[in-house]
Amino acid sequence: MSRYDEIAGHLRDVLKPYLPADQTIDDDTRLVDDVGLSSMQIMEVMMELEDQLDASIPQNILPEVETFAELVTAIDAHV
Amino acid sequence: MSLFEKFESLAEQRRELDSAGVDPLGVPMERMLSATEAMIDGRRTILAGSNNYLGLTFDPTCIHAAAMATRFEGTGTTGSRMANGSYNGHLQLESELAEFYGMARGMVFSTGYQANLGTLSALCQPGDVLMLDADCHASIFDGAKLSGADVICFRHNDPTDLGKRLRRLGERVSRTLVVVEGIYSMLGDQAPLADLVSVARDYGAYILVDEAHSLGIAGVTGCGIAESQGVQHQADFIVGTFSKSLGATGGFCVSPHESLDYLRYTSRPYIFTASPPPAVIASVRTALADIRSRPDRRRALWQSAERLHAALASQGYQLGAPPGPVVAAMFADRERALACWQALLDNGVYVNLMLPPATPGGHTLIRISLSAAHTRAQINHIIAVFSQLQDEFAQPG
Repeated sequence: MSRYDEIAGHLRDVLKPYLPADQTIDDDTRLVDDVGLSSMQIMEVMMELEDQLDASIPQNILPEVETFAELVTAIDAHV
Repeated sequence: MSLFEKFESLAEQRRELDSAGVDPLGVPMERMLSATEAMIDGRRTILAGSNNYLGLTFDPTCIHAAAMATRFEGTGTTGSRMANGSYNGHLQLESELAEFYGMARGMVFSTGYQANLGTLSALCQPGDVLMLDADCHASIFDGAKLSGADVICFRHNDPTDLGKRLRRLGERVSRTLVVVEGIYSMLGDQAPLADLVSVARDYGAYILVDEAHSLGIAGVTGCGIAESQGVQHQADFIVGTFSKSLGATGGFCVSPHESLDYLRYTSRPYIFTASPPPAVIASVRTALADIRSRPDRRRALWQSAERLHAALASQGYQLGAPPGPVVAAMFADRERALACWQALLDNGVYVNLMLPPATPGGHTLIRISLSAAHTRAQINHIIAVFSQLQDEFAQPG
């Protein structure tokens, strides 16, 4: 399994509680516009991801991130 | 595509509020009557959403000091201290704040927001780490953003979680500033500061405590929660505001580190803002002296807080924290909260309506902030109105 796939798997797990029942996630899913995450929820997602990966992930990566794939790539660059 | 397109979802929410005949986010105060009452929509209304914790906005001594300062020093400073110099009052207030907290240095900012913005953005830079409690105020997040430091959040009021995240930083912890608050403004909950400070110290991180909602309210001398939990002198920085217990506007940072003075040359929100006007400085100095000499005000505030909290809890409202100067009732349903807020106003009680996403846990909050100036009759009236509304709005805990 590639590092990207590993992080993507963790992120899918973390996002599950925030998804509407019929929503699936792919690389192009927009975290705010499609999933509807609020700023507080994004913060919660980031803290949970840090725990799953046992790593520090600065919130500073978020302004450049819109989609699922962009977030995974940004995290990959940091851990 | 226009600049204003991004506001469309906000505009829709605003239209919903307008159609309900309610604007909870901009209530016109037609005339102020006292620290605890104003005319709103032609009705005499109790102000229970003002952060005027000690009621000093109408204190005759503070008003006199402000009036005298205006008469003899003018209405404003018309520039920053770097350009226009420091008035004697600025220097005196900084010295008095440092002495009040038992710190080496003090620095005054033009607003409480700028105190956080100016302190954090100057203390930290890219390569440093800011470790913020997840429930920190927007001014802390904005200061962190301006600093360019790596921002990491830890779970609200959780020392174990803080320790876990500090451990992950390894050697970077020596360039890390942990930021917490004494009392959090949304729910009114207190931080376990003794434990948080202990964890930060164990790992070798610096710690800043924002006492905006606890200055004048907690501690033997009124310094705040760090004092009441016995860790004030382990804090590297304490930030606060003049706009709550001190009854004016402005903010400050005090520190045992003499290097705080270097922020005067690096903090853009300090350098590029007009300094506080003489009236503000004078009333704040008077209010600070009042805090030191009048512990009875704190006692009165806490008595009201205990009484209101007990009453609302017994009525079935779901409250966000143990008794304190902020009492927040939590609603899962935004419309019910809005209706409750309006019903309170219709019955002569002004409180704050706090909407997600700015609130913890996605709740909508009816937030009451108490004042030492509230009379027993006013507290009784607030309790009575909540009691009238309990069948419709109180939720089982």
